[in-house]
This record gives sequence, C-alpha cells and structure tokens, in this order.
Amino acid sequence: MSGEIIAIAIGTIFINNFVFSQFLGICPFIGVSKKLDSVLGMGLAVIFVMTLGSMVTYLIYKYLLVPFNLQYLKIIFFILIIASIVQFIEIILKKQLPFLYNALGIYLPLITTNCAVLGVALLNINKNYNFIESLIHGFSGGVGFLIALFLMSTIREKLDLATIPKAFKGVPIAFISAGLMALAFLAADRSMLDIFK
Amino acid sequence: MIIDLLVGVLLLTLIGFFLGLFLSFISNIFTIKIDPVVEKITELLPGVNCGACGYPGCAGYADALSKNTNIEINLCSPGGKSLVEKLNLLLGKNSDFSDKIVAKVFCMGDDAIASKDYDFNGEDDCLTMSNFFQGEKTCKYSCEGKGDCIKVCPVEAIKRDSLNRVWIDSSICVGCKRCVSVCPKNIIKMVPVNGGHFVACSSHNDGKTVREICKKGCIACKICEKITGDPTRIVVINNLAEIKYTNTVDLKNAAIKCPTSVIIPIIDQKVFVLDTLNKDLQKKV
Repeated sequence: MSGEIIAIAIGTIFINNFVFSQFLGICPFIGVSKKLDSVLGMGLAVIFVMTLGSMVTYLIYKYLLVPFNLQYLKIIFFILIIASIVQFIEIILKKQLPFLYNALGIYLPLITTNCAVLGVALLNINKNYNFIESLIHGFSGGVGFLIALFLMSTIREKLDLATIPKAFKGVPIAFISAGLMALAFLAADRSMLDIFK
Repeated sequence: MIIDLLVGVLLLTLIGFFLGLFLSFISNIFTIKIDPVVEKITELLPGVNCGACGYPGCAGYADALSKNTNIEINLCSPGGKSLVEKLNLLLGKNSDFSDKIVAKVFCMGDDAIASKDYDFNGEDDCLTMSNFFQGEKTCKYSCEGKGDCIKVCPVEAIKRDSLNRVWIDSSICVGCKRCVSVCPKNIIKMVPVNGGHFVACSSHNDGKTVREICKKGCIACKICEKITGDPTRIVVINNLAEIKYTNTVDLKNAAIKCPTSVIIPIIDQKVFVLDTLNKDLQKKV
C-alpha cells in the first residue's frame, strides 16, 4: 500500500508532471512564472486547491453521483466545487495575506478555470483511485506544478537579461524553454519507480 | 428517464445553494473594513499612478494621507489645483498649489538639420546609443531621439515625429518627472506651464561650432538679451541662453528675433513643431 502511494507521488511529480508531461495548466504556468517572488504563493494556492479539490470531488462522485447514476454530470459538478474552493481561498487570502493577494492578481481567480485542477479530479475518477490515493494524487500534482513554476521562474529571470532576438522576447522564448524542459522531463520514466519494488 | 434528469438538476441546485451559503458565511467572518476616507481620497485622485508624489501609486498616496495628517496634500501634480481644493474640503486643511510644471525636451535638433558623426545601427535605446561616443549626433548635448522617455511616460504626452524630434505636449504632461530621470543626456527639464517660453537647446559649445553642426542651436548671440533688456528674465550664461521663471516678462519679440528660433512657446509647442516640421522636411529634400 505504501509503495503504491510513493509510486503515485513520484509518478505525478516527475513522470506525469502536469505541466511538462500532460500540458495542463499552461496559462498560470506562463503567466505567474515571470518573478520568483509570487511563485511560492501561487504554487501553495494550487497545492491547496488540488488537494482539497480532489478530496471533495472524490467524495461527491462516490456518494452522490454514483448512487444517483449522474456520472455524466461530473464535469459541471467538479467545476462548481473547484470554483467554490477558489473563492474560499480568495476571501481568506484577501483578509489574512493581502500582499500575496495583490501579487497573485488575476491568476488566483484563474485557478478556477485551471485545467490542471479539473484534470486532477477527472484523472482520479479515470484511474479508479480510492480516497487516500486521490488525496496523494492531488497533493503531488500541486507539488509538481510548484516545481515546474519554480524551475521556470528561475530560468525566466535569467532570460530577461539575455540577448534574444526581438521576435522571441518575453512569452515566445518562455514557451520554447518550457518545451526544452518538457524534453528533459522525458528522462523521468517508469524506471524511476524500480527502486521501490 | 425524466425523473433521472430532474434528480440531476435538483442535486446540482442543492449543492450550489449550500456552497453559496457556505461562501457567504465565510465572507461574513473575513470581512475587511475599508476606511471610508481612503475610498473618498482614492476617488478624487486622478488614478494615473505616475508616482510624482513619491508614493507607490495613487492608492499608496491615499493610504498615507489618511494615516498621517502631516503629509502635504499638494504633492499630486496631475491633480493640479482643483484636486488640492477638493482635498482641502475633505480633510479640513488649507494648502496652496504651486503652478503646474511640465517637462520639456531642451533640444530641437532633428535628423535634417543636425549633423552626425556616424550612423547608429544598434538597439532602439537612448542609453545604449549614448554609450557609443555620446550618441550619433555631432552635438554632444543633443537629444538621441530614440525615445527612452516615451517608454516611461505614463500618459503618452511625449511625441516623436518623422524627423526623430522628441517633444512634450504641455496639455497632456502631468509633471511626474519620470522622463527627467531617464534621459541619459539630462536635457529634459521641468518648466512652469505659465512661464511663457523655453530655450530648446542645451549646447554649451561656442557659437561658431553650433552653427557648423546644428541649424537649430543657441549660438549665444545675445540678441534675446538685448531685446528683452531684463537680466532677471533671460541671460546668456556659458554660451547658452537661459530663461528664468521668477517673473513673466513677455519673450515674444525675442522669440521672433532669435536667428535660429530656439526660443519656443511652452503651451503651443504643437503648432510650432508642425510648422517647423514642414520647413525642415523641405530642407532635407
């Protein structure tokens, strides 16, 4: 059991990284990674939303949607729940951490439509995870997102100082570097999990 | 079949209802009290976030004003006189607003009339260009014409025409002094908007040199000094005419008689620029 949980965690963070392998959540990834300062806040917010989201959506799916035969409504239910969780975080951040709230700006409400968060909820269902497994899956998905954001922001701070052709300045070069990093993440594959067997 | 659909609709409505209740409950716990004075001041402030007051944006200034009563309320140059009057009413103070000041580029040397040492073919950036032998123009006091000031202007008051002349529209300029600090040649200076005229040249070269390298530079002929006859208003110091803004003697005659016409009205610079642009374009052809 514990081996499986570690496998899910490692697999979600490195092998099936939400940004670099599954290409989910690219909008906040490119939008927030400009500066290192706001990365940690954004990453923690995403971790929180993903963990809580995958827990609540799992419970809703298992105990409400399946008994009533409403599996076909799962996307709209999940979006409703994720939006509420994001609103919840927004209200608390605005009161308790106004600096972080200002730094995140529009990207905090955008977590609502972050496909990585919806993706985690839907993948939990597709992969037939139980409650603990979906919790781990959601948490490590957020950690993977934070790692991707962190790596990208350190690179982009250096990119700002580099001499690049005018046409590639800003977002285009960020996409190209993201692509190269995705290639690097190809090196992480199933063999990483052999240690735990 | 229809029952199944109804159950779905009902369940979604119920969940939405409870989540809404939950959120309104949470937002009641975490309400933020906003000082009504801050809101009022923020409404009055122009909202261009230029930073002329020395605070981070208009919100920062409003916050500081509400917290500390010793802060001057006439620091906002975009707001001008009317804003100070309104703030006096709101905060029960009695402050005056000094004359509005605007930025001016003290150089009118364009591509047609100023000679060049070399052709700069690098980055579109004043600072870069001034690092190469202080710019491409022979006159080392000249405007680079690459528009670093245009990039920092919060209200787009700075214009550049087809001859790379950079000039500032006094009616739009809010006087935030951002362009003053960014200009690598230090030729953007602040003048009071009601000051009449300014000398659009910064060259301290002697008259002969100026004549050779630029058709629109102060040649220190002292004609303006003689016509005005008021050393407290206009005086030639170190080969450059200098206008002082302590009094407002009319400089119209001096401006007309100036052989290189570098004495330019502050308010109607737009008319002047468009007028001379056509002449300069003809010279270039």
